[in-house]
Amino acid sequence: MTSRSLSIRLFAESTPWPWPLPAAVVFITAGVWLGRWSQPLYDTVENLVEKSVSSGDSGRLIWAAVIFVFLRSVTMLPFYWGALLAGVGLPLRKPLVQEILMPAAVTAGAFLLAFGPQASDYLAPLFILVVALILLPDLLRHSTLLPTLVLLQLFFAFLWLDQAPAMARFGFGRGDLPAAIRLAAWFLRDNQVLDLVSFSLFLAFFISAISVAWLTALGINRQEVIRDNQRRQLEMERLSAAAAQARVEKEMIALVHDLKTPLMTIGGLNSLAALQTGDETIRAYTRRIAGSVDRLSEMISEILHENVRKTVSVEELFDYVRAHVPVGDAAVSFIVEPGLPALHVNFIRLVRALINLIDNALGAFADCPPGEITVRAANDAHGRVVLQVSDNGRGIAAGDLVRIWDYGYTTRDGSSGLGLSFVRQVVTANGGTVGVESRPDCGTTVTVTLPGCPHPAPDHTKGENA
Amino acid sequence: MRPAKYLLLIPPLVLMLVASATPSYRAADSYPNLPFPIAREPIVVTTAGMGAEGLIVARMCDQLDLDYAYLFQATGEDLPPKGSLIVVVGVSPAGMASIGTTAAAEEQRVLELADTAVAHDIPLIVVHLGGRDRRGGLNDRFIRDLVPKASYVLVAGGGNYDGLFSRLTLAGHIPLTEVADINDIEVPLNSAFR
Repeated sequence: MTSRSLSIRLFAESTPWPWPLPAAVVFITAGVWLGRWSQPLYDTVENLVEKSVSSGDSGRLIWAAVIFVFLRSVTMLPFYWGALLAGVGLPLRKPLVQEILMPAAVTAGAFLLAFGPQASDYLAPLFILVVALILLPDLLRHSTLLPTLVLLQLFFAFLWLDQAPAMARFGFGRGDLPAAIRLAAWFLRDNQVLDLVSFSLFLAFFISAISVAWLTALGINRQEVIRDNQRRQLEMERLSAAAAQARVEKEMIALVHDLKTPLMTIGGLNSLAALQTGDETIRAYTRRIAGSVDRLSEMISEILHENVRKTVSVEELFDYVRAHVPVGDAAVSFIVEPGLPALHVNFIRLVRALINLIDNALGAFADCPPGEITVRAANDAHGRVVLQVSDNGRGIAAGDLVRIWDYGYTTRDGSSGLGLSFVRQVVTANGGTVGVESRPDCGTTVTVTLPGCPHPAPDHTKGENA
Repeated sequence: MRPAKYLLLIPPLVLMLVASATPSYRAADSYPNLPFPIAREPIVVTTAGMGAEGLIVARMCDQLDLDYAYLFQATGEDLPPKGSLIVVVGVSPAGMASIGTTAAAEEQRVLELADTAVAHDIPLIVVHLGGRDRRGGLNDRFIRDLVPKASYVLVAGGGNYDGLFSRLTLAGHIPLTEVADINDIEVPLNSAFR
């Protein structure tokens, strides 16, 4: 089992965790209660010390020290936990306050509250606090179980120093029971035995605590490196896709531009033919050819230049889109509400965007029975034209919804992931907005809202048909 | 983990150094032991503050083959016809809590006991074994109340680090013996009886 699977994540990477403060209050309250509840248990330690003095049995003295260290560790652990959570959980800007001053102040207050008479026994708790503040805040942001283990080992380590008679001259073990244990050890002339046991256990627990903290930090760093590599790889893929798309667009624009030369030749020769003929039928043909050449020229301009606009009716837009929709298993129906305002848009690009949306909707039926696609046009209360492409396909997962507009992002095999990015680019360039609603297995609706044009659209079909 | 955080280790290390630099034992004004006995058996051994030191002194009496009774809650009624009283000062909140007594009740018991000893001309020997850990607060109140009434005072483990015992015994012309190790107290204790 990895440390990652053992741990419970306290903080999301980008959003603050909402419950450290209530948890801190609960821990500190539990610590106060535990401290008071455990007082009678310390009688056991007192009795063992007295029995060891009476019987001259140093084994009982060591057993008394073991029980004392365990009881003290268990009763103090919630205070430290609560204090660290209070510090790390508060949205404080300065790390010094958040990771050091706040936990230290809360721990000191809670310590005095719980151990008032024994508060003179402060050196081991101070060392525990300091080492915990050095080791734990960074780990606490990633896991809870392993830092708890580290903290418990620090308690065991430093509280054993309290039991060592040799450490008394350095200020350790000034509490009531450690002093009694030490006096008994001196009287029984077992102070060296107690020193040996205490130092051995201190070293064992301290080295273990440092090792667990170091390995946990190493694991966290490794996971961050893996995540960074994944992010870099995704970014590289995105940049590669963008570069490929840029190359394709450049080639396409060059090709489209090349169309202009023969088109100008066709237009010029057509005008010449119209001038040289007296046949009215031929003249009618040349006018139709001239109309088509003009339209083709407009289309080329719209492809080449994003800011080229023309006024078209929604019906004209849908007719053009309908003619280019790929034939598939799904039924595509077009519904246009009457009385819609015209649109002043880059026609060719908007057509391409709508075809992309319909193409995506067709893709929603992969591995599913054929469904229905509805392309609807209506207007809203602000006079804007609302175009909706709805399908009853497999829908989009909530996790993917936030990323579908990203350049190069796709959930389908064989898709470049550029379609929706292009849609948003075109709609935004034409002064509109685009949104998506989707529920897995229920379908997806993409809504494009574009500003309506007050002037009616000219009838382009007249020139061609005249 | 920022390296600057290691500076946090400085305060506890300084506290350790300060504690180790403070003198823990001074032998001034101290007799190695009494030149002649000042007390007689049988002895009542009790504590002032319910510390485990009372039992340690009782065990020492046992090793010295003294006739003693260890009564951790001895009262004035337990004294006559005993020959002497040893009060071992050492306040243990856990000890007092374990027998359900309070600091005030314990103080009253010990003072009544000392007054009874003085009233019956029973020699009072005050023993302090706990060093700095059994000083301050109620411990010092016991010391100030008991030492002026004592016939002999024994201090071990640096309990006289601030000279309190020296001042009190000098003022009352009371013999004081101060030793480093608590086991070194057996010889002067024996000298009080033999």
